[in-house]
Amino acid sequence: MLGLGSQDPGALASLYDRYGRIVFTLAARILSDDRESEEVTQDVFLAVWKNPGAYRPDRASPLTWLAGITRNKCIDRMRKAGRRLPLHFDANEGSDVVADERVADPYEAVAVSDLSGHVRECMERLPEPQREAVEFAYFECLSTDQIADRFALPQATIKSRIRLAMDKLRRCLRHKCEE
Amino acid sequence: MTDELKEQAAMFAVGLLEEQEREAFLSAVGVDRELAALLDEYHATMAVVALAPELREPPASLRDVILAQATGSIAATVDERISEPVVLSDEFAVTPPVELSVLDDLPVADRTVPTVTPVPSRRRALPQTLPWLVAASLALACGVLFFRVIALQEENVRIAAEKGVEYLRIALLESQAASLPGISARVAWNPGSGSGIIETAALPDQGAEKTYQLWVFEKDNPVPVSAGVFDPVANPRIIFRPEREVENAVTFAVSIEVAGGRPQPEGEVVLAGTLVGG
Repeated sequence: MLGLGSQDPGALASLYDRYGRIVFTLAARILSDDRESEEVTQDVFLAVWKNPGAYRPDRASPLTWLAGITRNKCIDRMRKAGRRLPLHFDANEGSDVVADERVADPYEAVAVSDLSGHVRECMERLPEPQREAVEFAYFECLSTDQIADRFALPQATIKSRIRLAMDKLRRCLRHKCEE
Repeated sequence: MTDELKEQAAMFAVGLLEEQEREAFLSAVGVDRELAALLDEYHATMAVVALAPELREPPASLRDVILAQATGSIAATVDERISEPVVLSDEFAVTPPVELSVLDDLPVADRTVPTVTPVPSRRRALPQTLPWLVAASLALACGVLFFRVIALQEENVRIAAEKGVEYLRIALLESQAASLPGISARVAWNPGSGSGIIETAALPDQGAEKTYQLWVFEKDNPVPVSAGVFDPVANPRIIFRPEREVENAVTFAVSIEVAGGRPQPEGEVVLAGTLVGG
C-alpha cells in the first residue's frame, strides 16, 4: 500500500497485480456477472486510489480491507437491483481502543497461490451444513433469516453453524499456514 | 468472553450481526482485547474465504483502464475540453482545434485533435428549375447547424458542471485483420454527450482510394452507426460523433472503405472492441 498516499501509479499497479484477480473473482462469485464484476473491480481500485488514507494497516491487511470493500460494493449493487440484503460488512469497523495492540494478519505473509489452496482445503473439510451456511452468508450475501429459510431451521441454529465454521476455518488455516 | 459475544463476533465478521446488537457488541470490543483479537481473526478468516473460488483473471484491458483513470489522463481530456472552445467538425465551419492530452507521451506538436470527417449523405440533386428550393434548403441547413452548435456549447457547459470523469468509458480495439496484427486503438466514449475520442496506433496509410471508417454498435442492434471517416496517419487522435444519436453504445469497429466512406460497412473490419464494463 506504500506509495498510494503519494499518488504513485506504480503502487496502484502493484496493488492491482497482487489483488486484482482476487477482487475480480470475489465480485464475480457474488454477482455472477462478469461485466458487473469488472465495474466493481474498477470501483474498488479507484476508491483505494482516491482515498488511500482510508486504509488502516493497524486494523486489517490489504486483503481483508479490499475484500471488505469489494463485498460492500457488490452488496450496494445488489441492493440497488432490489435484492434484500444484510448489513454492510466493514473490515475497518471496530474499536480504536485496542487497535494498537492488535495482532498482525496471520495470513498476510502467505503467498496468494498457497493461501488459496489452503482455504479451499479448509473449506472442504467443513461439514457441509456449516460450509453452506458460510457460503450463503459470504458469497450469496443472504441474511440470517434468509439462510434459515433455505435450511428450514431456526436462526439460532444458523448462527451457531456460522460460528462453528469460522472457528474451524481459522484453526485449519492457522495450522496450514504454520506448516 | 461469553459464547454469545463469540457468536456475535462471528456474525459481525460475515456482516450478519443485527443492527440492534451492533452497538453493544462494538462497545464490548472496545474494552475486551481478547474479543477484539478474535474479531480481527474472524475478519481475516472471512477475507481469505474470498480465495475459496478458483481465481479468475480479469480482462487484461481492465488494468490499463484503471491506471488510466487513476492517473487522470482521461480526466485531463475532459477538463481540457471543458476549458477550451468546443471543437466542431468541418461541417460546422469551425473554431481552431482544441489541444488534448490523451497521450502524454506524444510531442506537443502532435496534440492537435481534429475531428472525424462525416460521411456525406447521398442526396438527390435539386432541380435546376427551382432555385428558391436551394435557397430554402440552405437556410434550413444553416438553422440546423446553428442549433447544433448551440447544443454542443450547452453540452460542454454541462460536462464542465458535472466534471464528468465517470462519463467516459473505454473500449480497447484490437486487430481483426490477419494482415495487420500490430494495429490497435483506444476509444474514450462519453455516453452523456454522445461523442468520443479515438486514438489509433500503427494503422497504415490507405492511399487516396481507400479510407478508414469508424462504426458504433448499439446494444441489441446489429446495424452499426457511422462515426465518420478519418486519416490515422495524419491524426492518430480524433474526436468523433456518430452521424445520429446513439443509444447504449457497446462496441466500436473500424473498417477500410472506399474513399469518402459508406453508409454501412462493406470493406474489411480491421479493428473492433467493446466498452469495458458493459
